[in-house]
Amino acid sequence: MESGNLRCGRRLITSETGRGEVVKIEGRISFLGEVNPKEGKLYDGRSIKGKVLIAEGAKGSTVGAYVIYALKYYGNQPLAIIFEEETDPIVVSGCVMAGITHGDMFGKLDLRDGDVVDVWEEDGKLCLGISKTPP
Amino acid sequence: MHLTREEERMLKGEYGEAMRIAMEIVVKVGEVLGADKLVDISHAHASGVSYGTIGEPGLHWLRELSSKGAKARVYSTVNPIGMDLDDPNKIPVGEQFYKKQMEVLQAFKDMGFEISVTCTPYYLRKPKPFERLSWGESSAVAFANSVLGSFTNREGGPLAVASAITGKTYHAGLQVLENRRTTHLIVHPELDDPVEWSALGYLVGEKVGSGIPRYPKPPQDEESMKLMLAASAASGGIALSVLEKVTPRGTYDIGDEERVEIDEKEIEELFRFNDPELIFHGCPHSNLNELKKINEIIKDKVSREFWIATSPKVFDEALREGIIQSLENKGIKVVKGTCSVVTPIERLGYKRIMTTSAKTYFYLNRKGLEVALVRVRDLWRVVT
Repeated sequence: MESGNLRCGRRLITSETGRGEVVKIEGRISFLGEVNPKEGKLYDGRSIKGKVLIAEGAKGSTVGAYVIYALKYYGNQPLAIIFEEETDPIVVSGCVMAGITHGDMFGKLDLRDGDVVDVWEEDGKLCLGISKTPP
Repeated sequence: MHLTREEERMLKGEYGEAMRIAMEIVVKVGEVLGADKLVDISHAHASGVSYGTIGEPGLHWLRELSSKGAKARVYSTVNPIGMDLDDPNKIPVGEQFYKKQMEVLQAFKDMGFEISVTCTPYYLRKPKPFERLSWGESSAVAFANSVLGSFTNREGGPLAVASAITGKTYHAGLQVLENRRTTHLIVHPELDDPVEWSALGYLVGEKVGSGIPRYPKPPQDEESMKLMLAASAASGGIALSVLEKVTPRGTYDIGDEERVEIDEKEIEELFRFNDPELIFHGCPHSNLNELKKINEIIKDKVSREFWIATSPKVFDEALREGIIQSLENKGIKVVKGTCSVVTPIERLGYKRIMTTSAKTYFYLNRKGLEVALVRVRDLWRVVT
């Protein structure tokens, strides 16, 4: 994604919007087992608190919804959860419970950890635009 | 998605904040799954009831809903908890866990759920063919769809709670007849013991993933069906299996089927004596027949730790018939409202376990324990 470019996907839940740093996961994320909600970190140590979490999609246990809710409970929720492909019911119910902005079907996103993006809602879609200004 | 006027009002918060939250969950999940409308359900069954699984945040969420006045609109039941319902010392989980677990149950009770604490809600009230449910326990979902011909998706814990409060679920997935179409044909050797059927289910789950398998020669007794379906729901994501001459006609269709063969060797590999520190039966929860049968098979005092899990309802029935006393006189521990999957069993120090359930086998293996299956007819040899 070039500077100034924007990409929109399906808007599922809009809560917070604004500017955040990207944390990118290659492949699908399982919230149960791969996310520590108490620390707000992925199991590889990267923090997701206040970040724009981007992954291909989701996998794993139905308890995942409670893990997403737990992120919010401990104040460690990401700004938004963005999936390149289609989401799943577990993540949707978790994001509704936690009030976390969530969109899917963005297509392949050429973004890296540390990129700064704006997240906003437009015409019923959820949009991402790369920003040069730090969050 | 089409919503009725009443459903719109529920979503807008005109029926209170708890109803709005619950409705939002059902509608959003339905939208994602491409539902065209919502449908009324007659029974919701919530999973994610063990404090060990949902933790402090889960407890907080349930309490919030409850304090906002959430009430179940339909008959609603709950899954097992992480310890014995009556006796916190039977499975020593610690005071803190016990206290928190009771708080989870209280939140459900306040919302009008029956404290059934069982994974076999169909023993409390048997749903009819075509009846719509919102159940969140994979083994019960598989039993309802496959044996009873009821319609339910495999719901996550919070969605089943939301369904209880709204009395509704989304019309997609297995709620739609066209999606109940077989994908695989299962060919297997002659099986006899219920645990062999459980092993078969486990292997089918591994091979079929989340498809809809058809068994031309299914087991004939309910206990074997229950064990088989629970196993394939755990190792795969199988929510519906078609059992020839069992699954009510009209609740499924035959699709293009891929043939899957399971041989004796694969089944036998799951049975291996491992000098167990603990033997476990009752996943899914034992019914009265199973308790009676085990009471007959095991005639003497057991010399190893042997647990049987059952629901409060079956426990009380067995108590009236003197079966619980007889089992406990032989040194068998009958635990009520819990099971080996949701108990923090790994923290109790057990390492080698034998079980009659391939579902238990699947989960305990994942917790890093050494597990093997044992046939019901061989139980006496292992425990004495």
